[in-house]
Amino acid sequence: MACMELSLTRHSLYILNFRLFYGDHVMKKAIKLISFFIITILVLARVYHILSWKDTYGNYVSSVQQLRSTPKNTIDVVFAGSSHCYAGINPDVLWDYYGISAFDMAISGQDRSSTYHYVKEVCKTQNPKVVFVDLYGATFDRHAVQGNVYRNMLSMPLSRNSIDLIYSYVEEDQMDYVLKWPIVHTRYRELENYDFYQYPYSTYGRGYMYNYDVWPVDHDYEMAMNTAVTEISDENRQWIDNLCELSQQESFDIYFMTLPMETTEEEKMIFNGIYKYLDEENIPYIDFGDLESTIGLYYGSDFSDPTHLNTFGAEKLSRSIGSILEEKYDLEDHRGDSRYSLWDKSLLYGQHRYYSDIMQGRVDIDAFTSWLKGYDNCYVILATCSGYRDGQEDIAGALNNFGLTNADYENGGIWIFEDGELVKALSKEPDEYNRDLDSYTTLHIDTDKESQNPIIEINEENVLTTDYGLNIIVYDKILGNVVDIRSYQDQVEFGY
Amino acid sequence: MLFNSRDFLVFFPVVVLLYFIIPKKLRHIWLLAASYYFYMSWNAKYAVLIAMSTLITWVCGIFIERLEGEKKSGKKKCVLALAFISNLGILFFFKYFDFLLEIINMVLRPLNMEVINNPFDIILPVGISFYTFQALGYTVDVYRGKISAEKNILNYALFISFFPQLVAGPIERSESLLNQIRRQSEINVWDYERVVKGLIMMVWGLFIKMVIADRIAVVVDTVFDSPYRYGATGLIAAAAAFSMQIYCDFSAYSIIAIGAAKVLGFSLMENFNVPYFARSIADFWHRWHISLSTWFRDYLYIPLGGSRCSRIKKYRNIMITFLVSGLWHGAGWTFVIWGGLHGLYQIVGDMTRGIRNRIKDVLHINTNVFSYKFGQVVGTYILTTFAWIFFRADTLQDAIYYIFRIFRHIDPWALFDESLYTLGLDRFESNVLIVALLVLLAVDLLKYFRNINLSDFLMAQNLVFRWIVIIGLIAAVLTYGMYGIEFDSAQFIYFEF
Repeated sequence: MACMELSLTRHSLYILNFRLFYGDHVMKKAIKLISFFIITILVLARVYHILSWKDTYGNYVSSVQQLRSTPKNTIDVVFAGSSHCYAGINPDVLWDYYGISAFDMAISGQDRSSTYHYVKEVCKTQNPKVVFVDLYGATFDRHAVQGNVYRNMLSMPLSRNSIDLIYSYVEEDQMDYVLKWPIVHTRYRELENYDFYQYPYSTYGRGYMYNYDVWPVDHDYEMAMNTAVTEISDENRQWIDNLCELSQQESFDIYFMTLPMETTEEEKMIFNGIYKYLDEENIPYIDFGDLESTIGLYYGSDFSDPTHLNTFGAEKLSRSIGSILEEKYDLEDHRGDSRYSLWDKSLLYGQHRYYSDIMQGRVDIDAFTSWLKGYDNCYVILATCSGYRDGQEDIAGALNNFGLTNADYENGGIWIFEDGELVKALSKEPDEYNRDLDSYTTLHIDTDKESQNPIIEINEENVLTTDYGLNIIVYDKILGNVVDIRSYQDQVEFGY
Repeated sequence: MLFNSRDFLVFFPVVVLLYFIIPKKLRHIWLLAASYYFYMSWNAKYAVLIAMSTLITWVCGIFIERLEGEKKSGKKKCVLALAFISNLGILFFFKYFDFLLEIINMVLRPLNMEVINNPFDIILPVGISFYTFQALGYTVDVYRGKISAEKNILNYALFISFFPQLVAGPIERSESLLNQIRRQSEINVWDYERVVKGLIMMVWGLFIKMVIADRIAVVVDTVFDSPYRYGATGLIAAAAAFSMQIYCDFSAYSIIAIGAAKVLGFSLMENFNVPYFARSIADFWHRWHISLSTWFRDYLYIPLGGSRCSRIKKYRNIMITFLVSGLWHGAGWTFVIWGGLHGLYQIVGDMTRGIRNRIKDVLHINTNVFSYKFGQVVGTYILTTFAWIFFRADTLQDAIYYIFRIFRHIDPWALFDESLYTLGLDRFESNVLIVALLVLLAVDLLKYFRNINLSDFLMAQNLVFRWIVIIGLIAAVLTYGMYGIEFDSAQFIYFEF
């Protein structure tokens, strides 16, 4: 106690002397300076957040951001690689069918160094049981596209791992990549809404990129059976060894894989050389391209381009992977566990992507509106415009499917449904009405004073496609955009 | 290293911090070491040249002082001449040897004689024109008795190599900077307001350089590289753009230099005083590159006789001074013509002064009104911009072609059909540039009407406003600055001199 008192006295004397000698003046200046630095850093941090690298070409989706929003130690299976990976393996399917918490740690054109360091990045916050590594990165040394350099080098948050990645790949201006600001500050020219708030799917997605495009591929079976070998390069050998070492350090099983794609002869020979090495070293690998019949792949409809599966093909491949995992591992089924809510949200997103795709195929008005009534998490706007004649049974029937009456049909109008329930009914020459569909999307309805036709706009874009008949506009709340705009026109005797 | 480089961002705080901490007696040594390190980051070999220039003029200064007295005036002159010959010899070799060869070959070619090939691959040492003039200025000052010779070689070496102003000025006078160095132990480094003002100046200089000068350079380079693609509107726009580019580029460097020196406790002279608000060419040269124009006035124009002689001689002196000034800026005919034009402007202005005054009387032109003064400003700007065309063009032929094309391809519709957005900057970038130029205009108007610079103005304001402006400038530099992988970090224009 006496010692403490002495210390306090000495400290007080020190402060007293300091203040007597330097005065409050210096203290005030010091506080001002520190406050200025703190405020400046906060402002610059916010500016940086807006300017920071985002994959605008990839619709602002970032697997790195998706990883960062994932609770710790929830990912059981990781698929690491390039676009072949995030196009061909859908974690939502593994979740839906098996309850497996999988994640695509995949970036367009992911090179060898990036694959290694991104797997390492995953292991910082996760404890995966199994990691699949796409071998595509072994087929090239340098990126052909500068955008892919940015995607791979700029996505990772600053850390020892990110600096190691940059110094392992970038040859010049490494500090610019480490600091990022010298590169990304030029993004002031391309800022959009998702630079100011995060693209929703980038928070809960599981790394997959949905794509329903169909490209019939003329599969080269001869190339697929090519057994010519290019001996594994030193860089590829080192890369595989490093990943195997990492798997031991982080206690996960590692599989190397090649995904279904049309390959060049050079690529095929590189793969064959790697398979040979993997066989020699007893390292497991799977050539999914070789298992097309097992997977049930159809080259006429399961590809979005010659080197990438589409979502139809990804479902088949993912289910096949799921059954392999089920056979080899006793992975826990996490469905129903609240810690894994991101997988549920991602699955819901996937379902809505599916709906928005198949919606295009539903043409018949009755079938469409019957199905649409049960479509959840959406706004449906029905608008009958002047000019349609009475007696259009199909349009009347469509309105009936939504619980509207024949009187509604005869009078005409605009009806807004949210999740199947009517939330607003307006006349066919409505007064101005505005409704926020979400924080950044506004529905505006009004009447054109000259033509007396209704005006319906979403974020100032007109969504009415006919003045004669029934307009149907569907806004998906999960996807955050208008997924369908169509009209069923009145069959006028003259002209149509 | 450039002021707007990452290296300088590390170098400067380290130098300043250690400067503040180390004992007073060692500060000049630390600054000297830092200055040589700064210079050697450009090219280590050429530190020998600056060291040689320093040593020669230091020794000459001491000898000149020792040779005081009438009987020794001849020897004094010899020593002074030695200083000039040696330093100008070095400058001439590195800067004008190629030009001299070009002139000789111009004479030999028409005579069908074999041309002389350049046996050397000469790289111009950065800043040589500046430190050579600074050293010679000191020598003359000692000769004239305006300052005592510096006995401490380290002090003198620091005066010559002081890094904030070493490579592009301001060209400091010994009475100012050397005396400050001599008294630097009296400097209270822990002056909060002085340091903050210095830092504000540095940020402001970076804004002018990185946001305005480097951005407007895109327009200048686009048009000057291919003038045949553009009509009068584009060509005039590019010429005006260059007038802004060189002003912003050069004044930015000076402002950063003055700010950096201020942080360290030294005052450097103002080098630019809103030159484009000048109302005559003479006024322009009181506002543009003030350190150089006053140097030429004190060490060339006045020794030649200045204006205290016959009119013919006065005009001769003006023309010699400006031709030499042109040559100082660059070893090429374009620079000579540029300098000569400014000399001509002043001669013609002087010759016609009487007639112009009579015309104003006859026409009852009121010279005290805004419209008249504004007209003078615009007229002066047009004359200086015309001369800048020669300064910027690669060759004399290019400059002449450029000017002729302005008169032959008049296209006023280009002002209305968005052609101006095809000069290298799209609409968005042009808008950024315009906003930045408006900010610069506001600051320059503040200087012109209230004779106060930005740092003094901000320090007089309330804290919140001051911080908003400063943080805004920092964010603007970091966001809109032309730097990074996508951009070439454009060197300051005057580094070539």
